[in-house]
Amino acid sequence: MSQVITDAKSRFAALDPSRSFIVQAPAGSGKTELLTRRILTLLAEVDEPEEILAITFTRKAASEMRQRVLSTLLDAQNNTPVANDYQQQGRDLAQAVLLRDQNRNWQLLQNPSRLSMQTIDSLCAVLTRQLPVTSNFGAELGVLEDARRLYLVAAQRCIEENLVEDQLGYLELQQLLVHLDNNVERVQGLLAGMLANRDQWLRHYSQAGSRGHLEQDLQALVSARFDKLEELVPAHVLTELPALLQMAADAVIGLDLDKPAQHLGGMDAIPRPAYSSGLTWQLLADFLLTNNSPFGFRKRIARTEGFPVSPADAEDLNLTVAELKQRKKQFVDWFDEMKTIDGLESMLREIRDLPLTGYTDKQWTIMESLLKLLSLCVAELHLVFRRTHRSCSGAGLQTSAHPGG
Amino acid sequence: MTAQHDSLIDKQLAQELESGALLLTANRRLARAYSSAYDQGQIEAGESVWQTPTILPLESWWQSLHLELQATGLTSARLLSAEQEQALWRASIESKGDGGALLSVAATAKALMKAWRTEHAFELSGADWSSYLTPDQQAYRRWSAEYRRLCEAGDFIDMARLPDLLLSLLESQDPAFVMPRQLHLRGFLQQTPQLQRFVAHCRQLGVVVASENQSALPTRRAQRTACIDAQHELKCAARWARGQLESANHAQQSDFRARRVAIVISDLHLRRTQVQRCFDEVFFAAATPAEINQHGRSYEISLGQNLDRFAPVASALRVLQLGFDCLQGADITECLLSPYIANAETEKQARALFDLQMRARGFKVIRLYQLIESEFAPAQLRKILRQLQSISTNSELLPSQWLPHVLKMLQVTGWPGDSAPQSEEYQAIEAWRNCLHEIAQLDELLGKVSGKRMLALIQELTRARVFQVQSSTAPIQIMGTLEMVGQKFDAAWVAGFDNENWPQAQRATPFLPLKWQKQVNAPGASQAWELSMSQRMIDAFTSAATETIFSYPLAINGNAVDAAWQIQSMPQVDVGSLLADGSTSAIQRVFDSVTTETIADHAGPPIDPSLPAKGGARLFEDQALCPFKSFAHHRLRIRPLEEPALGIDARDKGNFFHEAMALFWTQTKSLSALESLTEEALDLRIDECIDGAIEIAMSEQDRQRRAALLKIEKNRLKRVIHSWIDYFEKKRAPFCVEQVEQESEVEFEALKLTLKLDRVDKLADGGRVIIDYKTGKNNPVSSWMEERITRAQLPLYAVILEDIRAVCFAQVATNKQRFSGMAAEKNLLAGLQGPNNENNSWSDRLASWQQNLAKLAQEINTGHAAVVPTKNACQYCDFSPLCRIEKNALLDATQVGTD
Repeated sequence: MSQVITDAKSRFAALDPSRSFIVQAPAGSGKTELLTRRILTLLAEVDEPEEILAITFTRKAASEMRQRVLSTLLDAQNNTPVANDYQQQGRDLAQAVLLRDQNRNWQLLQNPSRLSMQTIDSLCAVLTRQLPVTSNFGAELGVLEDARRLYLVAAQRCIEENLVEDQLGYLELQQLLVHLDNNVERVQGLLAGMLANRDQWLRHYSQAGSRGHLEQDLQALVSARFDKLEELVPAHVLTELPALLQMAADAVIGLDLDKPAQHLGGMDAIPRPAYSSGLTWQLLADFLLTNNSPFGFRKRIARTEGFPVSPADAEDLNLTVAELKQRKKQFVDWFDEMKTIDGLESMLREIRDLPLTGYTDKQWTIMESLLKLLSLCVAELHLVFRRTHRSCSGAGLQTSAHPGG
Repeated sequence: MTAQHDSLIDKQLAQELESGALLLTANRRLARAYSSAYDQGQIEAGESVWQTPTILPLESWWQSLHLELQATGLTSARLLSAEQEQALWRASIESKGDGGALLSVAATAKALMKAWRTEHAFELSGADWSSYLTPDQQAYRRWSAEYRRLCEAGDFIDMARLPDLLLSLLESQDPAFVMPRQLHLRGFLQQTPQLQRFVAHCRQLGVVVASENQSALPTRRAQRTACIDAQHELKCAARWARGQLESANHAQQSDFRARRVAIVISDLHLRRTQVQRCFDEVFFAAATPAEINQHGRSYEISLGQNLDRFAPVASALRVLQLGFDCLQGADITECLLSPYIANAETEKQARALFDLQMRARGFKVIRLYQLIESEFAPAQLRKILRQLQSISTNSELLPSQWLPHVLKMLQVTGWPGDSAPQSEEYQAIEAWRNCLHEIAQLDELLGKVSGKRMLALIQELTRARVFQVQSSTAPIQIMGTLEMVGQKFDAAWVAGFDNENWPQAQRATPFLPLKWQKQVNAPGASQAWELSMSQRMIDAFTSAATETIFSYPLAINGNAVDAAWQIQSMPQVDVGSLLADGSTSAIQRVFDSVTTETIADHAGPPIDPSLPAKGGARLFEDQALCPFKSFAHHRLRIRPLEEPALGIDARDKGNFFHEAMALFWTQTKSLSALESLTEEALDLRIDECIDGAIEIAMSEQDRQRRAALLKIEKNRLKRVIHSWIDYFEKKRAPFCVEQVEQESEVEFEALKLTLKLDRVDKLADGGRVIIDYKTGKNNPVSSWMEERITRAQLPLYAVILEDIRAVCFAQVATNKQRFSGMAAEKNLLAGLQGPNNENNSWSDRLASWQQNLAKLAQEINTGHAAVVPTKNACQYCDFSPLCRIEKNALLDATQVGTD
């Protein structure tokens, strides 16, 4: 780092503690150093070091961060030489922290655990420790890193209990077993898997009780996708399209081919992308995209798309080869323009398989059974934690304030 | 040389103890250490008889004072044991109706007890409770008021308030007992205000109180050293300790007092197993656990373990679990094979077989009556279980009434076994009995409880009870940080002094306002407390041994860390210089000095041609997958333990299907017969076949046990069979079914084999089709084209039997049904591959199968058993602990014997 850093200004600006920043940069560009300095800047201003909290994704990163802050402070304390202005800037920050430390008698170097740099799990653990009753945990708990075994136990208990007639989940379990080929271990695995992710669904569970709500949510999600597509498609590209699709449809039907184009004839105008016109747009996506991974725009436009050019096909369709070639050129020109629209390809890919109806009755029955059993499973898990380990996985720490069922 | 050792007890202290001084320690362990140091001193002084000095943990002294006061009638209050106190806290929480939402009421009760002790030890009771309290503190206030009320109602006193009671009695009354003339306090890192007040009062009563005097200690040497990581740190500590003992043995053979060495590991409770393993490895490089036990270890991990983890206690708990409720999973095996049950040795084989039977029958959960009813139950065991059953009761009883019942349950099973318990077992059994008696004292608090509840109480208490086996004093003591305080050793190694883990964070109780705790300097309440405590601990470590080494890892989880600030000023030494054997360990040097010789032993004995070869087609399949697998499976007849599946497992489902189809075609016989059936008749026949199949394939007991799942299974099977018959069998060219599930003895390349065919159909032209049902999903015909045919079954039949025109799998999974296989000509059966061209005729195919299978047969005949699996063969193989393929792969990748 002996050269001049070109973005030194923005790096400096990002230290301003009165403002918030998102920092995105490639590996090795100095994100951790920037964060270290921001922490040093803050340390020079607070009353106690515990007022600053840094959350990292892994414990390793938390420890790395703490060691970085510590070694910067130690270097300043020992007055090790600095190589350039950028390092001097860091040194100045560290000196300010040391002064603060001295004035307020923090003794940070003696007790580095005062620097709160931790993972989200360990922050949750700290909170439950400080609020044992409020958090419903009752006492300090060890956090189980991997609770899969307990999820399986909870699921197993839930299944065993509800195999007995007139139990709360008897019918639901029967339905689920029939659905999953009477494979009890698969049901167990499915329930256990859902338990592992309960931080993501449990708090929605109470509203999710009714089919109407869930279908509404589903439709909202699907609509949002079509709205995005809507923004991408300029009006003028659709004016020419009905005629082109008509030609393609005539050709595939005329040649007796079972291809997407056959469904696309007979439209006076193409509706704008929306939930209500979803089916048309899914057919269009089928027409324009390949059927095999990576499911991109078709590279080749040919007979099966409704644009043949062979003399034999020309004869079958009562057209000349020249006419066919003209049609194909027209379409390819139009398609080439579509291909230049940024993001269209991936958006079409996304809407292609979205569900346009709500749940079918059969799907809904299974869904309902699953929801019911899950609520029983969560209760069972609570008991398992209580009985066996008295500890809880990370997902549980985050959801404990929202007991389900 | 004796002068070099300093004892915990110097001459003066010894004299004072002799003349009746009282020595109080912070914990039980330290009291033991002082007692044994005193005894040692007497022995060294040539005494053979001496009076036991009064050396007690502080709490025990208080308890004895209380007993005396009780005896003289000065107080009627009964002292709660820790268990009783916890039960009372639980009752307080529950009486306030707050318990329901708490994940763990028991853990909450414990945390409350801790806060209650802090409140009294630091004299916070007089604080201003009307100031702002958090909801948690309000809850504490509510519960502690209720707890106080319960104590008053029952005339109970607890350990937290006992000193206050004693003080008030001492102050107001003429003490009815004789106070010691002199009092010594040892091992107290922090004297609480309560203790200080008590000590002050003792002084007033004329007791001379001497506190620890560290300045009199001889010069201490403290050094620091860096290791690569925590694992390396442990290893170095073990090697250093070994070096300490060895050099002591060389230099001081005349000295009868062994060198005493301490290893301090701050997170010992988390790493116990790791520590034990590491020391075993360093001290007994290649010995088996049994050999080590026999030889005896010169190191001892002084860390209690939960009582329920001691084998005899665990066994007793399982017996009660079975008697009161049911057993699950691995507990079933543990219980059946327990050596702590009568006749365990004489019925060892029979009980092991019984366990296998129960596994094969798919018991994940088992109840007493199911074990007794089973026809496989060994006679003695059944007798024992019957007796256990005969004394079972559904009534609700008081804990003290349950006690004789529980003891009786254990007695009828012959617990703790036929052989006399060893010392460690004996101590654990004593501790277990104590636990039971403590529960029996909870009558008033618990009232009448059910058997299951009683079981839960016993389990809870034994799990919570930490029990430490007292053994003869090994020269090397491995311990946690707090246990080291106040001790004396010749040398000590303290591990884990990096700046991530030191100072160790202590936590103030959340139930009392932090501000108050700070004011009285309660544990963990302030930065100042933490730093001063960490310094005191380092001083304690340093003064506990003539020479102390503080070590720290240079990296934790691959992250660089540094030495803790507190040891930065100590002189740094290279870790290699501390180890007597230098930088290479003993085991490494052994490895380095040997030359290895390789003996390739890839074959077992050849097959005896006069005897039938077991395994049928599987023999070829396993041989193709991996010769060793085949050898282990069919020649050594090794089977993995079966793990009962939840529900009906794939094998049962497969059996049902096979049996049902066998019944169906035995009745139906041909396509024309099938076609002549009406819808209703077909439906009825399928139903009958399914019912019949399940009856054949599963015993009645097992059927009853799984009634609910079998109902679903029947419907599932019916769907599968219906769709298979409608969409596949009915669409075929005319055939009649010649054989179903028929066994035949054949000879192939001098191997006598028994083959079992699912089904053989005869076509209109007289040709035969062999059909094999597959209820699973994956049946690649492609393996038939390989040189080592891993799906050898059908090709084997094709080359052995006559007139075979096609061999095929009938895949009959719920969502995937089809025929797949190979035929002599195209379109013989939809889905089968015919020959693609003239170079690839049916006879060529048969010839190449014959050739490839003959090669496999040759291998089998000669006993070829090399570990050479085909790709993916290891994925579904249970023999890896036996063939050690992973280990061999590792050895290939790295050098042999690297440390």
